[in-house]
Amino acid sequence: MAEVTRVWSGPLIQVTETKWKIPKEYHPRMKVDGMVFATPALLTAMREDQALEQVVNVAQLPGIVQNSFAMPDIHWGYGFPIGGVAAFHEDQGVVSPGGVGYDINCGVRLLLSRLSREEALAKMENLIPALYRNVPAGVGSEGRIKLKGGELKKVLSLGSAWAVKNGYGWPEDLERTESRGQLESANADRVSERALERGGPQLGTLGSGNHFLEVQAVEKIYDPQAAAAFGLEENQVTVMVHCGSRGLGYQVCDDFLDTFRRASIRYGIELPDRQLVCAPVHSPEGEEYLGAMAAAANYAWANRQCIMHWVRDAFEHVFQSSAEKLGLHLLYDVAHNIAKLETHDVNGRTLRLCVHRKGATRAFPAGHPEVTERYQAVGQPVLIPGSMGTASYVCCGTAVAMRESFGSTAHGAGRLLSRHAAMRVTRGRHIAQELLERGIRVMARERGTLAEEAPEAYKDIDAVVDAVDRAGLSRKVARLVPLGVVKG
Amino acid sequence: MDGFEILEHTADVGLRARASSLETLFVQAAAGLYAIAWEGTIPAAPGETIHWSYTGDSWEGTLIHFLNELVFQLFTKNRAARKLACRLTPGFGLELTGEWAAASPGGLKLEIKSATYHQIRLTQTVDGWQAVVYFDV
Repeated sequence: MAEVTRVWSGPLIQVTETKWKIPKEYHPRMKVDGMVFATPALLTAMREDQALEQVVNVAQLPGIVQNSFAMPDIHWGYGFPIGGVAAFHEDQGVVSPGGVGYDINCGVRLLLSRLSREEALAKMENLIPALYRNVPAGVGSEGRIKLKGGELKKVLSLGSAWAVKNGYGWPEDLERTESRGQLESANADRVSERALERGGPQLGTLGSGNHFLEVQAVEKIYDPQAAAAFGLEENQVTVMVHCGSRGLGYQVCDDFLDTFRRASIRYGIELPDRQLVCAPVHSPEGEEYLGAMAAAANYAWANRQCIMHWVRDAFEHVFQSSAEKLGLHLLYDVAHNIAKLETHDVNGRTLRLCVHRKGATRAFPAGHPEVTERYQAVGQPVLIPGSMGTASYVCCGTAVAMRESFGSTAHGAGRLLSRHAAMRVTRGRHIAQELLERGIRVMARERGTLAEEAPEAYKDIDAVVDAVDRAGLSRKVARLVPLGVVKG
Repeated sequence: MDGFEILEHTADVGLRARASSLETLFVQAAAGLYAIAWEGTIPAAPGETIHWSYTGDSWEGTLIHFLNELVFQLFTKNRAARKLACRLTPGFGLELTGEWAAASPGGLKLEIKSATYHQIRLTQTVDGWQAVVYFDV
């Protein structure tokens, strides 16, 4: 097994306590500065892979506005770094499938409950197996929903609304989902037959890798006003779901990387990395990609909606009570791999921008028209999951994020060790038993997954969230700790 | 000298394949991909004959397309290529022969989303050919 690393040796100029600049003079083709949000401790890990070089590469793309941003959980990705945010002029800029990633609309949702930690712990021995049985997970897992005829294309057009219409959830779930779980720009006809074939049987599946379903308890409230608006209180049980668009999204990305490779040449776009292929936002290729990407995003929202339905079903079965009586309301659902056309104020001008968030979460502030009525007074809920066995956070969007990072913040802990390095450091250990000794019950399809996803394979989530809180990109509302986990 | 090794990457996984000829480099890359993703056994029964060809605009592009075909077949149709042989055709073209054999889903160990262009290298060396490719997993 060979290691591939190259330590960052370029400039990083401290701007504030948590903001560091890579000046555009560093590279002759950079059009804007790179801007990294991190604490000094997090910067040390960032320097050890090539993520910062990727921030520099993104800063070279046509029509980029303001900065190429890195969130505190940034790590080396494909083309764009994971934890990267970049916005491009709608008219003079580009859209890039590499700026969204393969798992289109990978995201997180959080359910509330009226259960206490003690009530959940008393049933955990039954609850985790019930969730494990109810929600298909693992490599190549197929779902319980058998779509016929053109039904899959309806999923791609309607997103979460398809799921609710077909009995997988409640109408109120839609208003508690980013973009109501449906991008209306979706064009199912731009999704290839191969993508439909790959993703068709997988609707309602968790998948594998870092995706999970977790029963949690609220350990600490930081912002009582926002927590009350979100329906959170200490000792309350919550359920977090993390997954995306499965094989359908992977194939959409793959198909368009091929198309965009030719388009980049045709439009004369010079690329520092072939994985950064791109095309003008309103070119035929750009519009086709945005239509297909939106369709895959809708699939991902429908996927999480269906999974949530089976989570409610498992709770009903185990607690012998209805989901309504158990208070299993959706708090919110956020995308963290997506490109969207949004309106932002930049240097006193109102611009329409194609904002790419790859491993980054939208964090719109109180009063923003796209924040659902329910949360208008406090801002959009931001869900930042930790790694298996560690805490997760609920935060809220801020005006600072709107000003500083196109309304974006971190998305998670971010990997620190490669999968094989994680296997090495956990060799000989029984991760499930270790977690159980800490009071966390884990079930996974693959034993290897537990080693690869061991807590030490990820950055410290507390440090990541502390960095975004101190930078003002989102405000801490609550800290959640795991009680039980289902992994693929 | 023909063979492959798996490369570490913070979030994902890479592969370095070596072969004495370009044709066998593709075969070694396929073996590497299966080593990463799958640990099942292939039944002895004859499989469907492979009819697959592709012409890219570079050998790197053809390699990515080839690997992504194997990814699609493995994760969507649950089948793996065996008795694989490759023939080069003009203009970075590749023709495959072999059989698609049933690969039970239970043998899948790591989901590969795609082979990527990220830091891809395909070069001629003094001993033959070498390719480095990273997979998003």
